[in-house]
Amino acid sequence: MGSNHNHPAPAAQIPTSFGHELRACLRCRLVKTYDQFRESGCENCPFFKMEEDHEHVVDCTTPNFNGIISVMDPARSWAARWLRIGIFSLFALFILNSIWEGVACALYCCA
Amino acid sequence: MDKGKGIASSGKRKKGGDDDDKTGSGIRKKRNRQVLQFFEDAADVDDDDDDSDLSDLNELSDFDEEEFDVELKVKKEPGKAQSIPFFPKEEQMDEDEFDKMMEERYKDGAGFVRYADDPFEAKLVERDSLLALATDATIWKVKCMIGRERQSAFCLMQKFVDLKSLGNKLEIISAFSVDHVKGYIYIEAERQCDLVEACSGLSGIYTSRVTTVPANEVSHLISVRCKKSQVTKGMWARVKSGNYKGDLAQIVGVNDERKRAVVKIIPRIDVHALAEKYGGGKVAKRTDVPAPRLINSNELE
Repeated sequence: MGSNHNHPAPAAQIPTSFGHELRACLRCRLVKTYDQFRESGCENCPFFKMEEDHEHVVDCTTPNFNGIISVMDPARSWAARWLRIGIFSLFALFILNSIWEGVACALYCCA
Repeated sequence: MDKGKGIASSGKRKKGGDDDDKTGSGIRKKRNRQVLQFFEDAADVDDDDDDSDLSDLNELSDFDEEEFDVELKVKKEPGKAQSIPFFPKEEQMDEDEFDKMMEERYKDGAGFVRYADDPFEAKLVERDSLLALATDATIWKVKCMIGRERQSAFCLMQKFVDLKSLGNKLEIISAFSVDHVKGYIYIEAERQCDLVEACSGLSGIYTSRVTTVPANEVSHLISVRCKKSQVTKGMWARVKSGNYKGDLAQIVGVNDERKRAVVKIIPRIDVHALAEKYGGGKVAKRTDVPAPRLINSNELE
């Protein structure tokens, strides 16, 4: 499923398959497959430049996340508001990782 | 007069930050008060223009009362002392202190990260503004096949997208699964019939077992983190499948990021079959598993 251009709410791609290749972006927690990140990067965090280098995908996304939420209507959803999600897509509830992965993530932001 | 100004201005700052955690700002104020009185520019850029002498006097007396209130609160909730990071303080710290603070926060046993098993604290001061309103749709807890919670949430999303391209609209608002709550997924929808219709045709979701969830519990669900990995060095484990099924193994190394562990186990190697294989002879396929035997490395030569 590609991204929804005609949808009134902003949207991001949803994962094309479901399995161990699902990864979540460290910063915005968007969930897609590794290949999708490699092709089109993260819609919320374009500065990570994941399309350019697969190293960026590995550094800025993680397969270790807890919980998943599909947001169909972000305007009416309490859960989306709580998690500060504004777009139609699949997100991780929270990421399980040490803070040092976050440091690598922050370095990319500054670079 | 400088001293008075310093205290008054930090008092103002506390009033201004009323959506911060009260205990946190109380502690910060106590620590920095001695420092702040030397910082003339620490009187922050609050746009209060009632900075006359009269208001200073008033604030001083108010300040004493507030300080006492804050002290009481601090004693009641010691665990939340470091709950919210304050950027000004972090900028004033140098790197070593910052590293120490981070380690303190995230080491095992620190109170900063809350775990799934912790008792539910009735007072959650943070995020008051995001509490569910009465106008929000209700959240339903739906029974689901164990191990398939994530996949069910994903299937609902796929179904939504597929139906939308056909012109129908699925009436649910969101669907989420929490990993440590096994066997249930949570769906947000206006009415129960919407929910049943949305889940029709999906084999993993059992719409006959549906209950509502009160809003304050949901915020607890979403905010809580899981405990760190239960598997540590030195623990024992049992192998589930393969040649070594049922054998006891000892864990010698754990890789949390890859969710892998290295274990030590008594080998079940058939030396003769190996010898034949590497000797170039035909391999006689053995269907029975060799018995466990401790092997010397010279036997493997």
